[in-house]
Parts: sequence; C-alpha cells; structure tokens
Amino acid sequence: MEDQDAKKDLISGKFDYITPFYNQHHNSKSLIEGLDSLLSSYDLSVSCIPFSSDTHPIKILPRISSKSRKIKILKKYDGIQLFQMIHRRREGSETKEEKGDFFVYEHPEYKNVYAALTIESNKFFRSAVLPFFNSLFPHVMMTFITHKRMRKLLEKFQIDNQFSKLIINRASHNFRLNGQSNGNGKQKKVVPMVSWPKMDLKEAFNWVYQNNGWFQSLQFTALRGNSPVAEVSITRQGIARTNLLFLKVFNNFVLPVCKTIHENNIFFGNRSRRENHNLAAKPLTIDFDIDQFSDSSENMKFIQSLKRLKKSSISVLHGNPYIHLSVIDYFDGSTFDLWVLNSNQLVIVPQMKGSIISIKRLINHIFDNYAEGDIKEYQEILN
Amino acid sequence: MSDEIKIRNEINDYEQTIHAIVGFMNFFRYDMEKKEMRRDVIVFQGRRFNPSPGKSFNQDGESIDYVTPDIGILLPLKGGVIGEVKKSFPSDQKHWLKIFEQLMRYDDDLTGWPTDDETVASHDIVLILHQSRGARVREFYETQKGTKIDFKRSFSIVEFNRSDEVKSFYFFRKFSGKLSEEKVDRRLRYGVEVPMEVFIKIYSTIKIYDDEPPLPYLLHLIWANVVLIKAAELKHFEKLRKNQKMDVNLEVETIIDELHIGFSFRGLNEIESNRQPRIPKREWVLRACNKLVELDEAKWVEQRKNITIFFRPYDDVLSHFIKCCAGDIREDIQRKLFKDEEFE
Repeated sequence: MEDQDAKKDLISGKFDYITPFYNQHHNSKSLIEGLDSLLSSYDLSVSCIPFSSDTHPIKILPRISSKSRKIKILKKYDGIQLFQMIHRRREGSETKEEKGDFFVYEHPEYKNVYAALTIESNKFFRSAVLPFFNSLFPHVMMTFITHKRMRKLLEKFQIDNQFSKLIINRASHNFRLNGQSNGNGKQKKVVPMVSWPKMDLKEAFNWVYQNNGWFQSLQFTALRGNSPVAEVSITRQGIARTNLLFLKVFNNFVLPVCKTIHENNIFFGNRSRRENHNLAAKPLTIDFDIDQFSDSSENMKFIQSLKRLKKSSISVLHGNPYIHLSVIDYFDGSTFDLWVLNSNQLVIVPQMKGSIISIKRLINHIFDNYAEGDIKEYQEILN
Repeated sequence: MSDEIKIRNEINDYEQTIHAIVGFMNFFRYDMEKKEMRRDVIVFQGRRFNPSPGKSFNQDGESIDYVTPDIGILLPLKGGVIGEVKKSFPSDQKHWLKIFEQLMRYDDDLTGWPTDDETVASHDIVLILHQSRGARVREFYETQKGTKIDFKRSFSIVEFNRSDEVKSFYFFRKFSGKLSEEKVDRRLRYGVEVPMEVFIKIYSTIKIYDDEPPLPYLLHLIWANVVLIKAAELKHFEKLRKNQKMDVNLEVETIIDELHIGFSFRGLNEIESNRQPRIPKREWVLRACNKLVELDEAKWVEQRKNITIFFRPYDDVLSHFIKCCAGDIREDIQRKLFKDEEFE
C-alpha cells in the first residue's frame, strides 16, 4: 500500500482536492482540466499512454488480470473510465502490494484510440502501469513517432506556448556504431545509451544526428525567460509525463499522438489480401531520404536488424543485390513480402493477412533498429 | 557447391522463370500509348490445348491428348501467342532437339483458346530462354532449321536475363524470327529493360506456375500461407513458444485450394475453365506432405485425405526446410525437363 501512503502524505496539511477529483463525475473536458489544476496544487505528475485497441478497454483490461496484477473498474462515465490496479511483487521473501488508479480517456473523435492517464507516482507508473500496457500487445498497441516528428512536436510545443527554451536534461538514445564487435564476433549495430546533455532542443538534435543516433525519450525543462515552468518527458511511443501545464502537454503531445494512431489505423487498415477484391496486394513503402541501400553491404545490415524482430520468421529469398524477404509475424499470423529494388525504398507487401497491429510492429521495428523513413502508399509503376 | 546453395539456386531459377513469364506477357498486356493494361488481351499459364488430329500422336505412336505451353496470350481479332520459358537449358545438346520438338507440337491448329469456338485464326510460337544459352541455342536452331526443326507458323526466340545494376531489371531481346504483333516485335528487336519494381504486386502474388517447385520452396509456401493461417485461428497460437508445437489439422484439398487461389497465375486471369490446371498439382502437395511426415513434422489422417501438421514457430521457415531437404536434392533435373506435363 505504498502508493496510498504516499497519497496521504501528499494531501496532509493541505485541502484535499484529490479525493473529490476521483469522486467527480467526469467527462473528457473535466478530466483533462481537472488534472491540469491538480498539478498546480500538488507536487504531482501526470503520466499518459496513448494507445489503440480494437476491443474497448472496459472489456479487455479486467480480463487480462493475472496473479501479479489485478484490474478493477471503479467508475464508468461517458468516454472516461476509472480503473484500479493492484500490483503484487516479490521483494526477497516478502510479497509487496501496491495499489493505484488510472483513467482511460476515449478519444471523442477517433475510433479505437484511447489514452491511459494517471497521477500515481512515477515508480508505480514504471513498475506497474506501463509494463501492464506493454503486456497487452497485440490487443493493445502503442504507437511510434519518428524522430523527425518528435522534433516537430517539441518545436511546436515551444512556439505555441512561447517558451524561451526547452532544455534537454536527460535523453535515452540509440547510436549506430558501425563495425563494433559485441564480443561474439557479430557486429553490434545499435547501442542504447543514456545521457544528460543539458542542451537546448536544436543543439541536442544536432548532437544526436552528428553521432549517427536518434532519441528514444527526452526529459526536458520548459523555460520562460530563465524560469523553469514545467518538467516534461516524451518518448517515441508517445508516452508523456509532466509535473505542470498538463493541458498544454495534452494538447501538444497526447492529442497529436492520438491523431497519428488514428491515421495509422486508417492507413494500415484493409491491407490483407483476403480483404481485397481479387485478392489484390496493397503494398506500402518506406521511402528513405538518402540512398540507404546504395552499398550492397547495407543489405546484410538490414536483414540482420530485421532478424531481431521478436516472434517472427524472416526468410531470405534474395539477399543481394536486391532484397526479397518473407516475413511471418507469430503474434497473429500476418505475413509480408519485403522488397528492396531501389536504393531509397523498401516495399512492404502484406499477404493474405496483414493486420494493422502487425504492420505497425514491423515498421516500428525497422524505424527503431535500422532507419527511419516516410511511410507512403506504393505507387504502381507501369512499364 | 553445397546442397543448400544448390537448392537456393533452384529456387532462384524457379522465381526467375515466373518473372520471365510475367515480364513477357506484359509486353502484350500493357498499352504503351494509353499507359494502362489492355482489357482486350487475355493471358494464361499452363493451359491445356488439344492438338489437331494430325498431331495427336508422337514419334513413338503414342497418343498426345493435350499440350500445355507455359505462356498463352489471346489478342483481339483472334490472334494468339504461345510461349515456352526455359531458365535452365540442358548442357548436353542432344536434349535440345526435344525442346524444339515440344515447341513444334504448338505449331498446330490447337483447340482450347478462351474464345467461343476455342480456336484462333493464327498464333505465334516463342521460345523464351536465358541469355546464358541464347547464342548457342540460336546456332543450333539455325543449323537444324528446315530439316529437323520446321515451323509453319511464325517462330521467334527471345532471350532474357536478370541484371542487377543500380536497379534490378529483366532484360528481354528477340534475336530470331518475327512476332506478328508489330509493336511488340519492334520493342523486343533492340532489347527492353523491365525494372523489377514494375511487377512487385504480381511477383508477390504469383509464386507458383505449372512446373513443380523445389520442395523446400513449396514447403515454405504451404507453411507460411496455409498452415500458419490455420494455426493463427487456434486458441494457443499467440502463446506458442519457440520450443513448443501445436497440432494443425488440414485437408490436402484445402492446401491446394489456398495456394491455387492465392499464389498461382489464376490471379492474372480468373476465368474458370477445365483447361486451366489447378496449381499446385495434387501430387506435388502430396510429396510435400510426405516430406513433412518423414521429418516427423506431420502425420497422415484418413488415408492421406487429411494431415495433422505439428506447427512450430521457426525463426526462418525457408532455411529450416532447405536444411531438411539438403540431403535429397533431386538428381533427375535433366530428366524432369523433358517429362510431359501431367494432369490429374
């Protein structure tokens, strides 16, 4: 019950706004505004996970309860639900139990798009809530925002809210180190790292580009003049956290990420051949800014990075000079043909089954482990 | 060369043959001026034609019920093209005449065209072969022409090659004879480069034609496109671990149907006809299933009507089956080249 105790400590000596907040009959607007005002009264943070699910969270979340996690619905409002999670974990011979609440916000416009929101401690969020949502894959899936888009969101956040600077305090990032051995004789391609750059936005992005890397998550201070006004973090999965100005963070990060989820659901939908007339294929492409595959050694790097995709079969029908792979996703039985016939383009052809979630997983893996590009509709070239 | 590399080369040859068939058909299907596919051109693969009474017997006096060319193209105004694709050509020239004899069987008033009376006014015959043998085959043809090799109809030889420059493409060039379709003849006279990216959709949906594929390739197709789909419908699929297996029950007919509907040339021409073979052939699928049983990866049920496959989530399905088959590479490749097509 550590978290409950922490909550008691938090409100001791102050007027208790938290209990009425939980008891209030919420709608989408009151929830977001309520969270925003709670942050100005207490030393709290709001953590938020945007996600998509074909099945409504009311049905799916309690169903996934396990020995270590129990999920209970506390309140159901129109478009908002309040859940409680009891998380049990072993600490030596003892079993510790933590309890915490989280809201699920249904996007009012985008079908199957939600956000989980909680004011519980970061520890509870990291050790209980986030692992729970990760474990719900493939029924629940978070998204993936490209490095380019992450930068744009941050820049817009700064401009829209007239912050003088965003100072990056902590960054987790991947560096691609060519030719380094991991000790097993195999080349280690992508090295995850954490750093504390204390740089402003522009400097930090230039620094990571120069080091052939990309950010996975960023924690920054928003400054007005020289005064810090909020500590915010954002990850490539669209997970956001802030200690102040929640409304602004919600509008600048959470809602745009929800939009991305929705757009991807539309774009990646109906790609299975069996859903199409004449069993036609509906390929999509990843277009790279540079001639990614101009060097044939790149083919092997790409294939090796793809082989790290968990729960999959990657078969090479042709590896050089062009690439033709057959990919099986063992999460749901989706299959794909992957082609590289052009040095700046990868073509993904979903086969009989190519689910939205599987396409997302494949593309996320490529972006995260190999290189990012722009996702586009395949343009048929007629000879 | 290791067995595994030999198998991979066989698979590569098999795919190149499909690509060559698709590429050659496209010269007739695609309207260069309107930049669109012609609806008045019908293409088909492996169709069964009946010979005329005069050509219903072979040199040994055996009856020939039908011939099955690799390529059939029906043009407007009842013209047609019949083609045979040879990626591999036997190294021993004594077998070459048999290939030309096969082509001469197409030099006939064939019945079976997709027209009302199943005939056409005239048709061309084309041998499409890999560039590596082109010059020698032409030399052979020129030497034998008018004696052992004689065509009444227009006969052409077209060579093809896959070239891997900055972009991969197939190169086609006609180096002997004349095609009746003027525009195509003109294009092919000087050689045409067809970028592979043009056909990504077709390459991804046509994976078998009417010649038996290498066994590991067929096993991979069955596993990835039939067994997996069925396994994914089962309750425990999502939680299946690498070292676990699950039973997947399938009818042999379902395997044939799924591959035929999803991955054969039926995709280019959906008109159902008794003359169109159901590819893959039943005996190929039975051979593949037998191999799975031999590998302890399946067991027969109900006298080989059904099969229970012990599905496992392999990291690389194709490599797995290549390894499994590496010991029994077909020794009869040469013989197989000349085997008459068999239908059920």
